[in-house]
Amino acid sequence: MTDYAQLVAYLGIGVILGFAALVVPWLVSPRYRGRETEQTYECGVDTIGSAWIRFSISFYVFALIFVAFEVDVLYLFPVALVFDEPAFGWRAFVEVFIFLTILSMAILHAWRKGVFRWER
Amino acid sequence: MPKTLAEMLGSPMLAVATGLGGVMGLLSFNALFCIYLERKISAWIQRRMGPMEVGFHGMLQTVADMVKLLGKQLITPKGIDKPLYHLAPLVVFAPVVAGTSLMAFSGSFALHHIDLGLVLVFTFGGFAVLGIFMAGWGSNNKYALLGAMRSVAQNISYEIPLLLSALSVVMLTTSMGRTVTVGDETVAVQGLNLFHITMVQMDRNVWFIVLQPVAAILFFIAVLAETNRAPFDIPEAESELVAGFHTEYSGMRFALFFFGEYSNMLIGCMVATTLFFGGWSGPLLPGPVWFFLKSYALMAVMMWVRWTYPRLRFDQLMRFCWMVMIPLSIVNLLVTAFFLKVF
Amino acid sequence: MKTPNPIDLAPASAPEDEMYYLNMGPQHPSMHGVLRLLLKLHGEEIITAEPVIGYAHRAHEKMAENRSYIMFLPNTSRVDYLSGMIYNLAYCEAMEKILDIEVPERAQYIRTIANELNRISSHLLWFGTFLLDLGGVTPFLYCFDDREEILEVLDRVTGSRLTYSYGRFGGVTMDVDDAFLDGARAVLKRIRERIPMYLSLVHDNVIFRERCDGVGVMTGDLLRKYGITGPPLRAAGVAYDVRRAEPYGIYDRFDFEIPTRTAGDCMARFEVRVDEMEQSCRIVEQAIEGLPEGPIMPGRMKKRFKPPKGEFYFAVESARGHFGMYIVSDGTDNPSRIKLRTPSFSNLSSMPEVLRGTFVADTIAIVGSIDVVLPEIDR
Repeated sequence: MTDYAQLVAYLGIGVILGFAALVVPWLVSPRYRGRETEQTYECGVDTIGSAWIRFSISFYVFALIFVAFEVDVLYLFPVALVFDEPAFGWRAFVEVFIFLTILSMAILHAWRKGVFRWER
Repeated sequence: MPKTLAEMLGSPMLAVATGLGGVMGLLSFNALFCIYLERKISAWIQRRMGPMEVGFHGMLQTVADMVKLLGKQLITPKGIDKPLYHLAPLVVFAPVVAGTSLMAFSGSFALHHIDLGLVLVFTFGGFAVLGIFMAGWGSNNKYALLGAMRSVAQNISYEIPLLLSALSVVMLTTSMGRTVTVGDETVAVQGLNLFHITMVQMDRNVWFIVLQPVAAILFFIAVLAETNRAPFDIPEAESELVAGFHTEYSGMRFALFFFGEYSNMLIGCMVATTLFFGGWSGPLLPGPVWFFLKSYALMAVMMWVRWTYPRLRFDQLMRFCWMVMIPLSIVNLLVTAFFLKVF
Repeated sequence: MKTPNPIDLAPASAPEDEMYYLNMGPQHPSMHGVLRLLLKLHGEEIITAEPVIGYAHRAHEKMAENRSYIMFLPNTSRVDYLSGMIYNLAYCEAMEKILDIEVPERAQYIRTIANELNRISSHLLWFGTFLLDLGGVTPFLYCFDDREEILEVLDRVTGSRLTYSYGRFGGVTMDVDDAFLDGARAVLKRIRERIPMYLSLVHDNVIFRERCDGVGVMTGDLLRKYGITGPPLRAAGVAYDVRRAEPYGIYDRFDFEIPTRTAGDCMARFEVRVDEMEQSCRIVEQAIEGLPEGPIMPGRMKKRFKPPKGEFYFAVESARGHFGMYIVSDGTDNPSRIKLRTPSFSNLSSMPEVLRGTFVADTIAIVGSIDVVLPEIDR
């Protein structure tokens, strides 16, 4: 059993333990049912319309920039591991610099478009 | 090199069983202790006593609360998305167990030998966002939805400075030595291995916070945001969104979220300890003691911050991340890379 | 020519299916009791906001029609439970004016002290809850600590902590003793010491400034349109204070300033209230200094009062603004009608206009900053 397999075991047993934690209240807790109890909480009044709507796009834009960023940052991890390899010399730095500059363009673009100012 | 539990016990099955027991014990203790600590610290800051009734100085108060939560009804509201609603607490809960098992508690033993430790910790940390979003969307509650939306946007944004500041430490680790000598053993350094990061710091007699102060501060702020702690607690801002994404969760389901949150705090502090505060290194006392002392000191700072500052508004929070934290962390990374080439 | 923005963020004419209604209140942690705001939102942005009131309606005005003048006395302090003293004494002063009763000097001074102490306690509570709304829990407990001192001092002489019925037509119920005066002096000393601390902890905090500066601006035409009074009005640069504009009681004898700001935002309202606490301290100080000896009532109090036929209006400055009592008498000992003009109601009614286009988090800050007391609005 490799270390990774062990890790998967931890994850799997974590799920089981989470379920187990819910068994006790399932056994001992009261089970009252009624319209008021099962009502969606909205400060004590009936809700107007469903919560499942198309949500404001502002959040979506952040998600888009994030995806671009996160993937690129992950690429940098292997780079960081061999960054000081003497064979690469200053080339490594120049390449990282170019990479990060292009990455920064995304922020600059969004900045100029007013995404961070929540402009309307 | 630290021995893994499987090597010490001779059987991987046994290792998983004991390791899991240890991790669960640690996390349960952590949750109970942290709630107590949080109450006491907030009480001291607010010039009151805090819990005093149950046990010596209210020590058993959290245990009593736990028992209460066990006996509470699991209210399932109408109109929810059943699979999402029921899975969400587990998605928050399970990864913290795996994440904790990766930690570099001590130089003499480990639960696993995984060279990708750092990346995996961030991966498991990322699960929390997923769970929160599942909870928010599955509840069919507008407060929960708003909380979940905020949470996702906030967590993914602060993930970037978190990774970038960790990246500069990784760069530093690999560059400071390709090998490190422990006892009579020489090990090739793996920059993403949490144990190796600590060993390099011990070997060079320096904490990385000295070499990377900016990264350390950025990392800590990002951890605050990632774990939804004040002043970044807008996903569950009680004065705005009642309880945010867990509005519709009661009893033990809510407790699982809570458990996950405090465990994520601990993991964040443990990673920060490893990256910037020399992990288990320290004089006289054994390694794990130092490790937990440092982690809980960071935790206390988190609580101190929470009870001192008001909450940021959502757009300000995002602006702070994208216009201050991320540019700073990119610059910090470039400066680090530059100096590594110069010297 | 400006190129159109390709990333179109929350356009003013957002599609209808992206908007949703959110009930904020009546059971909400930061709606100051039972205010319900019906918000129409697009993401985090507020399209329309509609305050729904009436959840704490107790028919005080109707009760007045079925009670004698003196029986209505305890009701007054329950209209606005945070500045009950001011309302209670305002009713007494209104009745004294109508009935033409001379109030002894000592009672006048005691009333002023009690009024201003009550004003400080009301502002302190506002300060705490405002910070609570912004997410800072700690100042709340500090303020309650200070407020407790004031309540204890008032409790000593009135016998109650919140809903005082201290006034009588012609004076006050109980005389103050040296212990009360010492207590009041101690309170002043304490408040004066604490205000700089509050300011350095809260006012200079970066996050607090970010949350308050330029948020919820109420200036110009809006003030006139909705009849906004009190700190929100003074925060917009209008130095209107009933204590100065139409002095009642003995306020014309004291030296105090009317703090104003010009910005009209949450920060200005915050600063005005903090300054007002300081000014109230000054008034109490002067009143304690000048407190004369003498009776506290003009004589034995009558059980029945029959004011002349007619309509009377009397206004005071409550902690929240211009509080008016409109009393219609038909010559019997029951009022024909008492209409209360409460400042919170007018201030809150401006909310639909102020909240439009702000964020959910700002809603909390703005509603918190105008300091509404719901029982006063619903009455």
